[in-house]
Amino acid sequence: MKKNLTYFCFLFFIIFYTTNSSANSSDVKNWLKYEIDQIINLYKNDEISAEVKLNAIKETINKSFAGKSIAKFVVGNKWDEASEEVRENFVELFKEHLSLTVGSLMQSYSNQKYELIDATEVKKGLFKIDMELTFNEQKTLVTWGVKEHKNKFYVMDLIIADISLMRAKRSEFSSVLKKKNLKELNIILKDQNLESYNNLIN
Amino acid sequence: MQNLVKTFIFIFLSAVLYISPVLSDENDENSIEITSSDYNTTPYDQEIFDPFEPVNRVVFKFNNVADRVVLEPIAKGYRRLPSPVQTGVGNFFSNLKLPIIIINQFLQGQFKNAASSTGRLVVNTTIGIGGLVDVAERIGLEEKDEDFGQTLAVWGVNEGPYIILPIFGPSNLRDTTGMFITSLTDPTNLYLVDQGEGEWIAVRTAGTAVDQRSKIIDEVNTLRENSIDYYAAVRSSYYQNRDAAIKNRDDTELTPVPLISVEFE
Repeated sequence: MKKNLTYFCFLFFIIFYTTNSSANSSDVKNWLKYEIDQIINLYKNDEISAEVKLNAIKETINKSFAGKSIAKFVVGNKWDEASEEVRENFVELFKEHLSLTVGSLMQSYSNQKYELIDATEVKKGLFKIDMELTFNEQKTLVTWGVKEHKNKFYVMDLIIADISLMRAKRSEFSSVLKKKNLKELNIILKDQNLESYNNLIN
Repeated sequence: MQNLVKTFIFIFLSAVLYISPVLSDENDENSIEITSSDYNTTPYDQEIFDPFEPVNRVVFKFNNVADRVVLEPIAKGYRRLPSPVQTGVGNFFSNLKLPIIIINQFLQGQFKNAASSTGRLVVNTTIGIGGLVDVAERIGLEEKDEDFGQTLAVWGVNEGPYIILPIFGPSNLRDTTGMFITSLTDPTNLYLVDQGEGEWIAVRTAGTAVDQRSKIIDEVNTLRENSIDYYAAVRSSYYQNRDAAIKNRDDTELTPVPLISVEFE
């Protein structure tokens, strides 16, 4: 009986540890391909309105981007100084800002081919996936930064031609936050989002 | 029997502990820990040395208007040309840059890359009909970019203050010095001057600017229309891109960065 129990425990822990192991580069590549394909399939269809396409991007960003964590990163120490309400407002505005930026980038989509060429786990739970976009023999390298959290993946950066979108955003926001606080930044961001929305939809 | 119960309790608890993180907060991204090291940067924004910011912002505005009125419309017109024509023009201007790239690769001790670039120059100038067709790429001689700004950085020269040059766009003291050295030493330009055809240097500079600008129309518009501080966004982009170029993280010729800048050729 004791021998059987030991055998059972051994089996249980083998199963436990193998199923609990971290994702590998291939998993993250497949996940990203699925997410990208969903958006690209929408953009291939000219009959779908710009508004619907933007909503799909918003949904993807809410679901698959580490929105709050990125928002916290881009405002640096101003995060700690702000109230919970101001922070929450900023996170929502920032996610919208990201959606509009990605939506604006996608606006120029015209059947470019893409290939996920490489995926590397740069450190535990942090993956960098290289994607090559080809259009008219011209190639663009886009690198996705993806973080694994509770067995799920979240995009935390988009690096186009060696320029990290989130680092550029942090620099941009820091420049404004030198003279303003987070509450004032929210007002500026809200106006910017409205302007970006009008540019994109109209 | 007591041991058996204990073992089952242990297994049960382990299973619960294993499953619970998956079940709870399934769509919750609130607790994701992202550190500045995930972005290869410091906890707070690194101050870029920009002592001339007020003046730079004025020049930046001027360049922005010049871009909207002159460069962007020409680049849009150029983009309507058939794709093979655009590719040919782009290849031609890239080929003219190769002699100065080779010099810089030698100066940085990149002898293998210098040999590869020399091969590119020979193959594309001859078989590639004066550089119009990039035959070298097809036989594995990839394009890699180097300039005097990068050479000075490799030699340990400090970048100095950030500068926005009229028409030429974002730079810093080191890269401006590099650009000045290029203007004096570029073999293609020296040859044109020697032949009494110096006016072609301006044509070359303008042609390269239009070709490069045409490749980033949408990216520039995205950055311009979605930034709360476009100046700061371009400044950060410039530094990130130069840093990658100096460290040769990716020195193959892909899309130029979304900056409005004109390279002196």
